[in-house]
Amino acid sequence: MLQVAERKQVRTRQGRREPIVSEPTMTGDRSNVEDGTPPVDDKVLVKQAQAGHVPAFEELVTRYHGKLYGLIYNMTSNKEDAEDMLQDVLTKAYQSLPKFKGNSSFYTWVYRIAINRTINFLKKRKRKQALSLDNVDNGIERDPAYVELSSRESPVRDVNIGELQEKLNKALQTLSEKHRAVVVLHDIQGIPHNEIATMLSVSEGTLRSRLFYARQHLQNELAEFAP
Amino acid sequence: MKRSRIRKTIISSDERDLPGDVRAEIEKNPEYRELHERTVLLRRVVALKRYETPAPGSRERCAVMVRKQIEWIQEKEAEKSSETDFAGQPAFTLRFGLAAAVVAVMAIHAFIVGQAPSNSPSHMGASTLGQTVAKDPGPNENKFIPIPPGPNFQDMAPLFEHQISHPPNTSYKFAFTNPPIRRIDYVK
Repeated sequence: MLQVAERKQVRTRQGRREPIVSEPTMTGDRSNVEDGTPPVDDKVLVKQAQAGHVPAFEELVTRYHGKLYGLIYNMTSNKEDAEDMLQDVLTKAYQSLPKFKGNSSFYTWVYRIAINRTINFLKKRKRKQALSLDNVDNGIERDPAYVELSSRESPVRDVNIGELQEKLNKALQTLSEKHRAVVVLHDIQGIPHNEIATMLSVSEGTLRSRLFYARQHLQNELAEFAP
Repeated sequence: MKRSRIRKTIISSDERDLPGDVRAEIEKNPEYRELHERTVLLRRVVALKRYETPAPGSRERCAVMVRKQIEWIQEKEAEKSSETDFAGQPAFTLRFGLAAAVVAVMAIHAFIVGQAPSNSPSHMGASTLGQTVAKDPGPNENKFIPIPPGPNFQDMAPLFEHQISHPPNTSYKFAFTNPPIRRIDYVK
């Protein structure tokens, strides 16, 4: 572990070269599979990153990469844009880290940055970008919902996964950015209403109203799958 | 409960957080049951998007790029701070000293000029102003300005006679003893 830590040393904000520091107060949700140590709490990593330990920030990047990528990818339906945007969001988050007071969790804070920057990006990108989709994991075929849909008398049975993916993405792109954001956060990423309301700085009533409109719209767009 | 409200609650809520009264309506009314089933199905279809996963190595690539950008930012910050933190350099001290000296000289000059008596009305006392204010002339005044009293040319002629090398009764004497009388026209 020590060797790994020493190998990972990088320059801090002050220009010094320091290794990542692991502290024993760990209550996070991810364990370190490599060495069996429990995960470092986000708050500890954030404090280390604020002090200039870049490896601590990298650990946070690794921790939330998947979810943040998913958010941006589902908002843009373009994997190249999603990769670029994610780098931009994480760099911005690092730059803004000194301003982070810890009033919310790091996860909520970084999500808020990602949502705002993605919506701004989409507003600037006026013309519609062609879809550039990720591969669909094979796990979809074992998903109970997909199995049920395939066995039903529904078009999913006849449509291949690629076509289904394209239709879903096209339908999502017909929504406005703010309506798409609530569908992505709630229906795809499974984040609870209250957390989304905090991330978007709106009331839960507004959030439910947006969900109602977005789902109603998607029901028309995807009528062939959910008749 | 209003029909529109029930529909809105069914569409916007999740299965687990449906209110009891709406749940009862769903069980009672086939129309609401159908809407509920359709909403659940839609949510499941949309949720299949979570199986779209980034290409392998995306996370590592992102981490490397973010680290590079952070290092670039740090280098920029370091350059910026080295540019601004040059107060100890001799060239800066000299330039700063010269600028300060110029400012000090200008300030002293301004102070001295400010202390000197001034003729401007703002610096005059009320009595001075009263004496110097001229009476406004009427429209018909100053048409004729009399010649101020001065030396008589005839009385002055002998004073010059001994200095003149010409014989007497020359044009000089005539000139001094008989000065021409000229009319003076004053400009109105």
